[in-house]
Amino acid sequence: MKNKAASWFEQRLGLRAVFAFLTKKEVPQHKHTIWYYTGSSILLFLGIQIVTGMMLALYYKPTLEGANASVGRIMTQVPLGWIVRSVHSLSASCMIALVMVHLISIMLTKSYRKPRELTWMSGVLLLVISMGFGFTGYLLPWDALSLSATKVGTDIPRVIPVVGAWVSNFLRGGEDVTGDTLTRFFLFHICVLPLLVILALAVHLYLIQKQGISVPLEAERDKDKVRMLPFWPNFVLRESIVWLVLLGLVVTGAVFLAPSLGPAADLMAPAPQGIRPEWYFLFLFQTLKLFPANVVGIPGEALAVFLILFVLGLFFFLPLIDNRPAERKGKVITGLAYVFLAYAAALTVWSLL
Amino acid sequence: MKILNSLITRRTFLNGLMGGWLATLAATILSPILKFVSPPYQEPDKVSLPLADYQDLAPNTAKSFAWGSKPGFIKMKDDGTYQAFVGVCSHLDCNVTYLPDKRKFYCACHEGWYDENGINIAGPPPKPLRQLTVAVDGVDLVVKRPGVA
Amino acid sequence: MIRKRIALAMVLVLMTLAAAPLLASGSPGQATATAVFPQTPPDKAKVETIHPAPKNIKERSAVYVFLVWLWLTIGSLIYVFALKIREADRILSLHYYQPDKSPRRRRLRL
Repeated sequence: MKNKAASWFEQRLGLRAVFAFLTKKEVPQHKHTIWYYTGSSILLFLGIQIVTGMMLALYYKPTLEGANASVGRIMTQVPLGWIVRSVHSLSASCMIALVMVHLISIMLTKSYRKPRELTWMSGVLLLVISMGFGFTGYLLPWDALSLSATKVGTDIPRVIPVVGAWVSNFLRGGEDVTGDTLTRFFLFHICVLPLLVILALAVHLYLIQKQGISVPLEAERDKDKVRMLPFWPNFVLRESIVWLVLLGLVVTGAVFLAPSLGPAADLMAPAPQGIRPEWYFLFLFQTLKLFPANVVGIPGEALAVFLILFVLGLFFFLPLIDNRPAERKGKVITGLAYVFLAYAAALTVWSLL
Repeated sequence: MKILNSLITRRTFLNGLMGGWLATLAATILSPILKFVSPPYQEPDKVSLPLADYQDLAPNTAKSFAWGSKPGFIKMKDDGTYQAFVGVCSHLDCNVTYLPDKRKFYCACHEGWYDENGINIAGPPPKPLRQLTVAVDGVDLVVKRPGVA
Repeated sequence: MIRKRIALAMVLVLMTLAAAPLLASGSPGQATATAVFPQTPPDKAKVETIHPAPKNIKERSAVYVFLVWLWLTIGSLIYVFALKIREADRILSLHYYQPDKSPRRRRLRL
């Protein structure tokens, strides 16, 4: 009976080829194998975000008058609403943290070398989209902290010549942050960015399946000696354990580290003390603060923005820049990568002091 | 100790155990989700209305009030006493209206008719309009669900 | 060794049975406070920060029970998965699916 149903679907969908591929897929085993778990863990958190996000969207009202009150209602009146919101918030931070760990591990093992350049580029795109999720989501509770963070964040593009003002107005839905900004950010958060993430993820995952999992440089030289673990069932079982532990940690963390909600933002009130963006933007925020108001006649802020965009560009094109990873050029670039990581970590810590 | 005959193999047993625990995990995650997406609606036990708003009701007229998120009707009977109904049709939940000239409640959705005491007399409604108890308490008109102290 | 495994499996079964009343009495979520629609229009929202927390002791203990149950489930699943991983790895090292590499299968002429 089960086989009859299976063969009915097989004759029409022809998915046996997909399953056959999955059973043949292999994962290399070496001392850096542990980093292979970061990718799928990001997927786990993305799934958690989608589910909790949909649940929150059932009660959230994306209008100036209703936003803060609706989040308050979720936290106080909807059954277990505070846990759902807490999971959504914590899992967002965890997902972005994992994206960064994933990026660092790929960067340091130089897995972006040929033929995986496009995989890296789609990955950088995914990083930018994830941070976009964080930025747009942060405004939605519409309390004083999120309003200030959004005002600062959407003002920054203004320094870019020619297009800056247009970009800022596009993000804000006007010249200032208003109820229109909230509606716009809500749309970005639940519709535009999810569609983009699905697209970029599809490219990213397709490339990984097509090209197989990469091995670190040293392991590549001793190709015969790399042991391969079958994806199914060996690697999937191990991955499932990682997923279970992460799921438990995120739910437990959400219960004990639940975020609170401030009173509704007042568009006319002065900015509150101690405003700061989410932790993953802190090093950028601090970089902006480092630059003096004017450098040789150019506003310091503009210089900072250009520097950040330039470094982002370097990141995006890293596989093309580091085209000789095994030689001295590659080692210099690895050194620079460590310098950048140290810089980001130091500035994050500094901004918290 | 080798078991010569067994109903199930160790593999089946362990697989069953694993399936059971996975189902438990799914239920553990799913039940709060289900609780969240369908919050229980609780009707108010009682509603206090300012008597001043309803003092000047002429006999055989009805005025609406908010019964939770449903409309309610305060109706002045011919003998000067108040009556209160939940103004929702018992057929398919449309809001009804009171027609004083006909002395009937009317539901426009499917032409349902109730008499002046809320009893269903014509059209599809299967049950009468729900009645609520109403009493004057000082400066308030207190409307309660029947059975609530 | 096998006896120990069977004993552990029995313990898991007994735990499942012991937990059945908990599941039958309804999920921990049912103990949470139900949404109450105010009888009077709500006061103007008090201008203060809302701190998320369970509303009463019943809900707080329900959340703790939920967490304990969650970790218990996760722990049991990890145990079973670990068994399966050991089995899968053993099959791999035996080269079960590649008779030409497996010394044992070659001997058995499978």
